[in-house]
Amino acid sequence: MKLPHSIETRDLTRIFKSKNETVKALDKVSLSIEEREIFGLLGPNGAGKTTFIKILTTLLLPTNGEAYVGGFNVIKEPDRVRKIISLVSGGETPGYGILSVRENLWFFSQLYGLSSTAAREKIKRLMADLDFEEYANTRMAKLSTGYRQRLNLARGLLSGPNILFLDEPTLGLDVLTAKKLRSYIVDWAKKEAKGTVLLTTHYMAEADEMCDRVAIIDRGRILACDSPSTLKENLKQKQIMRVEIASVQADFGFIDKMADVIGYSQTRNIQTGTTTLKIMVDNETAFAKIMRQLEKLKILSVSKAEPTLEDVYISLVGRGFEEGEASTSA
Amino acid sequence: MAVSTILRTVKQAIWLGWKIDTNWADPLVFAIYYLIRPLAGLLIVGFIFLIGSGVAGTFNPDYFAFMFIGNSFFIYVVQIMMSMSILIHEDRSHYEVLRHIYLTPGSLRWYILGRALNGVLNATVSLILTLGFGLLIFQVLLGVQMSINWWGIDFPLLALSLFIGMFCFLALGFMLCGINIMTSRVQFMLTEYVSGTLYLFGGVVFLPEILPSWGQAITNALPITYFLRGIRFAILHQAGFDVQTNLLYLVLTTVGAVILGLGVFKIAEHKARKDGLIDRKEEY
Ligand SMILES: Nc1ncnc2c1ncn2[C@@H]1O[C@H](COP(=O)(O)OP(=O)(O)OP(=O)(O)O)[C@@H](O)[C@H]1O
Ligand SMILES: [Mg+2]
Repeated sequence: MKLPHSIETRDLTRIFKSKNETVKALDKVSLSIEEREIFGLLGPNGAGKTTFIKILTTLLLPTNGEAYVGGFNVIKEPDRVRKIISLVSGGETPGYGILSVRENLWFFSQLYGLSSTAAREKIKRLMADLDFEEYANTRMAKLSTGYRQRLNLARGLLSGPNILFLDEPTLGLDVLTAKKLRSYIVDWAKKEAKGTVLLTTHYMAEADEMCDRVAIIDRGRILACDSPSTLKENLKQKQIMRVEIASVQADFGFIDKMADVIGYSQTRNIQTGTTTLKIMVDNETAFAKIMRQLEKLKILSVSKAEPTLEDVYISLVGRGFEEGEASTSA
Repeated sequence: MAVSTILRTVKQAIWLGWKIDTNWADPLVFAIYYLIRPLAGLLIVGFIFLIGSGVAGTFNPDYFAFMFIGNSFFIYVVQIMMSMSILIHEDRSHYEVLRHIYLTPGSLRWYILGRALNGVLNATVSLILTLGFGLLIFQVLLGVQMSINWWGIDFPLLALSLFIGMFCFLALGFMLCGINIMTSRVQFMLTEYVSGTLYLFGGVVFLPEILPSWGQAITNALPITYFLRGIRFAILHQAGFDVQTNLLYLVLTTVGAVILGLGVFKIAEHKARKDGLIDRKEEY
């Protein structure tokens, strides 16, 4: 049986024009996301992830193309779309600092039209499930980032949405809170009859761990879309090596220019003064050549790496996600 | 949309406005905001008038009552404009809630209406306090003659004028909200221009007759003119005043204001979706 598409876009394009530049934030994006799927949109800064979510949540109109959410036309039927979705973003703290946690949730429950009994019950349950009951009467302004994000997620779930849009939901959270929220979201999608999640992230591990399918987006274009395991499976013929070097200054630009090199990424760790290179090559001869060049530097370790989603990205784009930052963390 | 959702939204917005207003640590600041500010305005105008009358050697109790009532009821304009002009920017940048409110079925409009109604309630409290203290100071303490018969007020007419007038002030508030959605900073000057125009040309403290003819044309186009005339007649019962015609003009100009206010707001909402302004990052 073919499941109805929960989210569908056709040639979705968004161009931002300003005085001195024109940015194509989305370039003919066509995606179909099924009901009950957790779908990840993975891409570096400026790839167009937030723009995609803003269009689907009716905050922004596309320049071209079509989009449907829950079968409703996002452009023409925004009110019907809004009834079945909600949006939670990392790094934002929507709410009134002067109100308590419970009052903030109550405020939104009323704007969603929940009856008083339903609202009270729902708020109580969400606070218990997400483990922040003890802060119910604390002013929001006094909450730490992790608890604000719990509150934010609870707000998103108050109305009982079918489709949850999560824009980098674990941005800036500690490892434990991030883990807690991820597993909560996965459970939510399993439990809800129509629960669909569209999640953007630039944490590879997050996409790998949570998502049924992942689309890799770069500069507004979808480069690949499949389950994490299939995406990684496709890399099995390639060689991926991890090399740790005792330097944070060396320039590795030469690697790209060598024959049979698909791409590489580097993660600098200033504290330990080391750089970890991940190099993907078509054959081992290419790797031997690179090692001869690297010999001039102090090599701490060399190992063969299992493919990750980052390697999928490297294989498509030729470079790592975010040079310098440990993008596989959290 | 369900009526119950609208009612819940409006109620919450009023409550929120009240919470934000009363959050100030110092109750004294709160009192200043509600009483001393409007009262000070009244006292300044009142004393200028009294000194002027003293110099000229004539005192016109009718005019004093005219000024007293106009100035007191102008509180509605000030309060509503004030609460509605910073709302958008505060909710967008400071509280980061604007887009989430926008996405609820309760919708931004009903929420804004609730916040504005909070302004109406505040203004009503201010008005009653200002009238009370104004009377105490001018009539009781200073013995100023005011031709007001407080026992003969036509309350139905007063209520009707207030009711219709509120539509006009709220509509202007929506216009301000719309413009603020489209701009990246609070448009304080615009708020001043709008309320300044109403103050100068709306017959608040000056008789429109002293204005040049183009000024009187503006006066005749402003709903506040008919609003204040209706209020004054309900309190003062001047002879020869045509209540019905005045009400008609009040309704017509208010309809105009509502079309203007909601029109600007609708355009702003559309532009906001086109350009992604509902959650734009801005200098706050
Ligand atoms: N309102 C806007 N006006 C102009 N350009 C914009 C606007 N919003 C986004 N852009 C541009 O569109 C591109 C895509 O931005 P978007 O925020 O969708 O990326 P993203 O994948 O969410 O990135 P990040 O990981 O940094 O959140 C960027 O080049 C960005 O500068
Ligand atoms: Mg983003």
